[in-house]
Amino acid sequence: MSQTQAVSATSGAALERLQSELLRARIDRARRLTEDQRLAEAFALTHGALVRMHEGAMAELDAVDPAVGWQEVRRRLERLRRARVRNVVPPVGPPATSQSVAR
Amino acid sequence: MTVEQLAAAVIDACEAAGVEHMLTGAFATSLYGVPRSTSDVDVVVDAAAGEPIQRVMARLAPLVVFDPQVQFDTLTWGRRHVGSTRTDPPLLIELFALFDDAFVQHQFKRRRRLVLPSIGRAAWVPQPEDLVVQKLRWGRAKDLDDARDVLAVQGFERFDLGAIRSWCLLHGTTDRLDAVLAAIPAE
Repeated sequence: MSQTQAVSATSGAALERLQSELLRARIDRARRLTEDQRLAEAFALTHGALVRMHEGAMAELDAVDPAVGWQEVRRRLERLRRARVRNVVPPVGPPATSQSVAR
Repeated sequence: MTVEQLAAAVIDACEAAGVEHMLTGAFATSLYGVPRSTSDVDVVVDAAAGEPIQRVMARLAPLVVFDPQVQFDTLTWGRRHVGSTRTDPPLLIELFALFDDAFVQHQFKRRRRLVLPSIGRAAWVPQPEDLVVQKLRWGRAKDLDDARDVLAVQGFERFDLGAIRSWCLLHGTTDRLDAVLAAIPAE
């Protein structure tokens, strides 16, 4: 193993360890919350994400009217959703016996 | 309108229309796993009687514009109606029609009602074990992370892993289950 490969392998292992520690911390923190507290936190994260998206759109477009920023956010979210639909993994397991809505 | 206000409006619309329902998606994941953001409210609606989805959509019409075209979801095999809020910020609502699939029916029958002060309502949500099976079945990277997080936060020791494995065997997702269990960092 070359020196570069050895450094890379060490960094990789260190990175994995760090990822694992971060995940453990997130799990432990979530465990200390009630179901409703976790849900409330998801709402707060959602608000924050939307506000940041809006601020980013306003800055990029050099817009003054907030509605212009929201219109751009709407367009970007729609594009993301379309990409997600296109990239879906084919479902596994037996298909439904009926593809209709009715039971 | 906030995402919690939209969720409350959907619950109210379903109840006023007399339609059985269950919140799913990121809502359910955040209840049981690691909270994450979402701009979607996903609801499974029992379509057994009449035109229940149309009744729900009609009640939501002042708040939500629905796509007139019904979408067939290649991931869940179900039909869904997608709408977005009329006001900003833009939020999405997806109404999934309950359909004739053994697991989908099982999950819906076992749903639980939970009082959620953060939305000021009681809501029907899936059991955590069923959410894990569903996420493993869908199998996108995000779904597998969600399954891992629910197993880790709830503590998989308290789950009926035998039942989860049975569904995974039927769905061909046993490898995914083993992979997410192995990915849970040691305490």
